Amino acid sequence: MEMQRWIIHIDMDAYFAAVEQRDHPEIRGKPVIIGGLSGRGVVSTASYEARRFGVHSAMPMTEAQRRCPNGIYLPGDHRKYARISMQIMKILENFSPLVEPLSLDEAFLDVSGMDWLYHDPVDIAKKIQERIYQDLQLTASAGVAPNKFLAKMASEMKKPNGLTVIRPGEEAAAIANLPIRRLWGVGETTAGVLSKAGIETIGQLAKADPVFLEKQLGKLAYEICELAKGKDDREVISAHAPKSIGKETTFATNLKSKTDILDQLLILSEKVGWRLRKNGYVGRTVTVKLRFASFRTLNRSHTFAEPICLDEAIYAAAGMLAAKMTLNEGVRLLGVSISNLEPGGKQISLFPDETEIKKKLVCQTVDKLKNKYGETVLMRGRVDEEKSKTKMP
Amino acid sequence: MKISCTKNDLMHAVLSVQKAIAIKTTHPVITGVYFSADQDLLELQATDYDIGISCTIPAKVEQSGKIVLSGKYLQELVRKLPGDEVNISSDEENKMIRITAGSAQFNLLSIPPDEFPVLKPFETDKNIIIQDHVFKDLIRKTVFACSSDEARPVFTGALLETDQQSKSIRMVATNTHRLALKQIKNISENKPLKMIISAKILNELAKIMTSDQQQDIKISWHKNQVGFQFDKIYMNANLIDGQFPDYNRVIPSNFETVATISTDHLSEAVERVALLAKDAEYNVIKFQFNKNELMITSNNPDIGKACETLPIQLTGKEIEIAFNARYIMDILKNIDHDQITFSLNSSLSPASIQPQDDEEYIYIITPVRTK
Repeated sequence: MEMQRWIIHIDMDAYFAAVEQRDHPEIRGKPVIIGGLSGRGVVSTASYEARRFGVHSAMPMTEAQRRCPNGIYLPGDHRKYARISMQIMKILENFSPLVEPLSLDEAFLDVSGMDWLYHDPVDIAKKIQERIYQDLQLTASAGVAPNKFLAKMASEMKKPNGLTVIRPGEEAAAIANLPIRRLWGVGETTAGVLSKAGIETIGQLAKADPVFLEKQLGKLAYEICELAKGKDDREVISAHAPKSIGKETTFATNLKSKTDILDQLLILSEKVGWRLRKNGYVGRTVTVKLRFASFRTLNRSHTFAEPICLDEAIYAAAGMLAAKMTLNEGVRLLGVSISNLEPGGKQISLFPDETEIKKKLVCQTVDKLKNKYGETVLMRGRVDEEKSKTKMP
Repeated sequence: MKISCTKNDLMHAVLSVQKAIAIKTTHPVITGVYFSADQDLLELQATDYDIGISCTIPAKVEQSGKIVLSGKYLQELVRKLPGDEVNISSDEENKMIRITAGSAQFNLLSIPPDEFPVLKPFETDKNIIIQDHVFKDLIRKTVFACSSDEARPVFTGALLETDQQSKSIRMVATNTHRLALKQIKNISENKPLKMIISAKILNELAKIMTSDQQQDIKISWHKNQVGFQFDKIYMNANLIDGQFPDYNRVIPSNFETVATISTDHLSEAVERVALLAKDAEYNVIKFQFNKNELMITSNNPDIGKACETLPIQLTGKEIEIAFNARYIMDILKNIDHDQITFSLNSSLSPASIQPQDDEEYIYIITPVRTK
């Protein structure tokens, strides 16, 4: 028998506003609106108190101010929200190895097969809500269901601090009365088409004639019908490390000489190296992509035995790969990327390479300057500013 | 040339020299195998200039001579010959070589043998003789720890050196993240020796030292070359040029935590827990050394977690540390004793794994930072 899937969706209640109310007792119980305060700003989060005035997220700030003139308007502190978000995700990771953050304030957890720890997945959701409140004094709403789509629908059913469960067998009924706009993939246009055919609710869509729907909507029909029946087999995918880091440039005029190509590869290698180190990775495979005027494209790779992260090493491989390519025509695009990534500097060395350490120190200093003043603050003698700007506008 | 020999002997010779046949070269003669027959002996040779191997087998020599045959086809050809006996002969101008065995006959074009850079053992008194099983043991217990990173060539080879005071010979290999040292004391020879030999060559050497009977191996050196002579085989190779770092400096002299563990139990547990370790992240597995037990865990956010607990005897303080699982498995495979001693200082300093009560085999491993 196949294992019953259980997914939990955790959605923080009025997250940005709740964090501010937590940290500033004087604004608790008052309408708090976080968002861009300039002329064209929009609301990113409204506290439940503000929602009573009809203020909701994505609303133009001017409209919010009209509806709730006595509200407390704040620009928000995104660094703080990101930091607290990391604490939330840490808590979630205690409950399952499979956590997929969707944004700062919501995430999916796959808790299938954990019956031996908790007899009911609802208990896990309760525990999570308790932990978040205990540790962070914030409330979250939770949805528990056999798949991601339903779990998200469920978490929205009771807010704030709600907990809704949709059990196997209840899938279609639980969402039948919701408007079709709530389905993933149903936008204004699709809703319009369905509405003309008299389909307004998810339940109506689930019962509609699939042939008719397919004629009206094409391939989308199958997907939204499955969702309407409460079926969704998308996996919970935990945050992935990047597979590769790369950079490519299309030139305003095709490159003809080897020297020009090497100069551009050096510029690209430095950009890739900087990004690589900024993200704290080292990599083993360097790939050069070269597109000729005729659009014929070559990709060549070199793999090192040990991971690298210095610009020079990336360039050494890129230059070597380029040297092996035969150039019969002009080059319109060059790209350099590095893959086979791993987090850098974790394995301790018994015999550190002294010259390598010195090069790394130089690199770190250059990186610090670049991080502070931008990428063009320092350049190698052979790469002047003009060359680094030969990109197409 | 006109000779006959057994198929088994010929196959043995071909397999022995195989590794030295040049593949990419501008000098076609070294893509071949050199045959030289004289006085009831047939010698096969191959070289790619980095490594040269010669193997001599008994043969009935009716007419002595020298030929070179394409290396690419030789191994499969000899393997598939029918019967037990093989006849090899050349025509008068030495242009065509005929190989016959049972009902099969091959006529092969000869490569002119005069240009072949014939291998000769160098005349030198710089040599030592040790038993082959001793030498094989040195190789097996250390060379796996070498690096494959050509950027720092000295680590792609193992250091072979003698110590005149303790009358010992030792081999040391490291990829800078782990180091293996095997030493054998009280050897009869007592000449100063210090050289770095490529891991590729040592592995090949171990592979062709196939004799069941114990025998001596003579290691001689001259300028930047080393020669190995044993049985009917002679191999010479270029040494790796460079300074091997002072390895004594990285072997800790004392430890704050010392644990004794069953080699097999640890090996099996590490292999299981490592199943969930991420290749792209140093195969990290965590070790929690407690008073009476060792807990080994791995955590792969995409797959799940693994955990296993083993009984141990521990003296000193408890400690938590992370290692690359592969580096642990590598050493456990090569320990013959049923108990190991795992010695540690802190979660960021090198640790040591040794067979219990054996000071002659040392393995140093660096931890992985997990924070």
